[in-house]
Amino acid sequence: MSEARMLTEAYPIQGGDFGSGGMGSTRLKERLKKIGVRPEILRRIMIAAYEAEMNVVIHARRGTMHTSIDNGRLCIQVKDEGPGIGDTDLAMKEGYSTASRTARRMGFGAGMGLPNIRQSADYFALQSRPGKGTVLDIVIGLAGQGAERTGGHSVNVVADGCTGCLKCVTACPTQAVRVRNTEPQVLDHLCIDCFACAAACRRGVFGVKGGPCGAPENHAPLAEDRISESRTPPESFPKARVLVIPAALLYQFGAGFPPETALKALGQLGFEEIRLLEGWEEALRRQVARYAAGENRRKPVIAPLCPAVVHLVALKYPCLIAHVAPLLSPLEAACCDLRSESTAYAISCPAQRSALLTVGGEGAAAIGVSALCSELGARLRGDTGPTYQLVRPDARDEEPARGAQGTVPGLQVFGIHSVEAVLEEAENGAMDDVPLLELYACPQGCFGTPLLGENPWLVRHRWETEGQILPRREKAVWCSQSLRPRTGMRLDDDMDRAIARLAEIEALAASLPGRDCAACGSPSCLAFAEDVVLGRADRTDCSFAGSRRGGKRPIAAEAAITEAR
Amino acid sequence: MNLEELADRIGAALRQRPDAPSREIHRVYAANRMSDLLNGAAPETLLITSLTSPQLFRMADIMDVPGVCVVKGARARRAQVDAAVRRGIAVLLSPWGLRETCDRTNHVLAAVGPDGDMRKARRDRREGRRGVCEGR
Repeated sequence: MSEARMLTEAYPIQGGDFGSGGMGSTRLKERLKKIGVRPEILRRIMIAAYEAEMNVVIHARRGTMHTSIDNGRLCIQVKDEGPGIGDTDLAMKEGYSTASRTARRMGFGAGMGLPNIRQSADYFALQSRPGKGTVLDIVIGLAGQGAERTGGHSVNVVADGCTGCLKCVTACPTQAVRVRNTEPQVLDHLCIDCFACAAACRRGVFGVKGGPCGAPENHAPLAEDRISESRTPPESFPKARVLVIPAALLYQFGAGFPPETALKALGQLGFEEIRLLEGWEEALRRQVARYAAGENRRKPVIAPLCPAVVHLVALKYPCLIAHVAPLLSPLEAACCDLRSESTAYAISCPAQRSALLTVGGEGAAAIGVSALCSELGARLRGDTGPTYQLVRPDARDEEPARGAQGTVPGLQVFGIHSVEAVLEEAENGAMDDVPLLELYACPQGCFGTPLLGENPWLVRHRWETEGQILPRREKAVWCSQSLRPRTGMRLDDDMDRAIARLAEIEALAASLPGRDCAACGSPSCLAFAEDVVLGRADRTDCSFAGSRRGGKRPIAAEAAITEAR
Repeated sequence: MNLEELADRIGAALRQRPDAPSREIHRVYAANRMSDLLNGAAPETLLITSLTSPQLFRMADIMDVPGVCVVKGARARRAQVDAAVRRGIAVLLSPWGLRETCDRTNHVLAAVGPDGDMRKARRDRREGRRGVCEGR
């Protein structure tokens, strides 16, 4: 019997029954102990499960706790038939409680239940309406894999077409790319998945990693024929009921193919329901605007709309971590939201793949957006098959989610280098007058991913003006795991040797010309010195080694620099 | 420190299963709210509280704490205590109030040290290292 089978269980909870409350958590603990869950993780699970169970006992008539293990994560859903929560933000506040006097006499009603659950869970979502009951979703990684929001990257070198132009080396905002002998290399500890290297490369050398989260994805070279003839066969797409796509995908085929026709082509791929990622993006935007309006927020609040920007903050601007709103990015929220559904996700960039892996685990089904684009393009040319409708907003949501756009008093910044400039201002404390920042690594946000070929400004314009395809009104998901600074690679495990290496790097850097020309394949002289000391480069890779600062450059190096600029 | 020894030193009555294995206490945590106790509960931590509801013992069971110390003034029903003992939770009945029980426990654990190494405990105290009694 598989783990998942063994632990898919439902525990009924009776409201007001303080004698039996906690029995579900006790049974869950016994089962988790049997499969060898680590004690520190078991402790977190038990805090979350017990608090959630007792919430039903205290506040509701009855409820059920469903548990299952999915891709190494324990998912707990507690549904109740209770009065519901009118103001979920208030309910999340420490010390706020509506518990009865009886419950308080027993030591409950401290107003710490939901905050405790949020603190113990990797992912936590609360859905409630007055009179309709409450649904609490909790996810905890059994191997602790959900705890790290900034681990790993998904950029891959996928083709042999590198000409050594060095554009990627200078484009990378974190100096993560090296090119030696026309062989690009991405340094794991520095890459933030912003895909600036791919945007700079005209040879399609950089792509998204494949593996368990989808087929390897080479980004479309910026050629005229965006709809490639050699496409991924649709049989290799993951089988799922729901497909989540970015809206940009529907606007890739020019004015002659409106988004409805692209949807029609998508309908031929076998998905029953298509959802737009923009629904979660708008939900996040609304929630962040509310969060930013709260008391004692550090200004500017940074909306975690783009996971690459969050990684950038964690790596280069750790003092701004407290400014990042504690919510999941749109794709992470979608993955949390649709956990119980059979869902595939169209991935527009490596940051999204990393996010999907973090939340959805190794088994998350992903389709590269350019593979999907190629398939749709081919089908559009054929234009056969059944008509297809995008799921429309619920009847209760008469106001379209996109209507919230423009009301956020924030500053939108596009492009990783502009984002860096703004973050530097924020770090210097020069942006206290800006309440909210919406930062995107790509031009025009997800409309500008290098994996799609259409002009991002044009695509966004069509999306905003045509106004026919509206996303459903989705919900934002709080992130309980606080963002942690990303530490760089240690020079050596031994402190003394690390100090010696640092001295060596500094001495070597001082002996270099200091041009930061990148002709050696490293982005700066200091980075080159580090590469040499750590064995990633040879000192002779520097064409100027030995020449004095301001000395004449060799012609070959000069050409390389000009090309790189 | 051994639970029996701790109970003896603070003058508390200890109820536990006769076949219960020896339990080590490295830390105590005192609170009168369930959420606080839940957060402070951990293996090798003795919970001190004036709560006596059945949920206290269920929570202690769920969180695998070695024992619960119920302070003077708390009305612990015999049946509840017996049920907890049957489930393997040691129950200490302190003749002192919450603060006094904490003071005494802290004093004993600080003197002997959580590892039972008096010399190390003295050294830790001299160097201003950790208190062993926490709570809210």
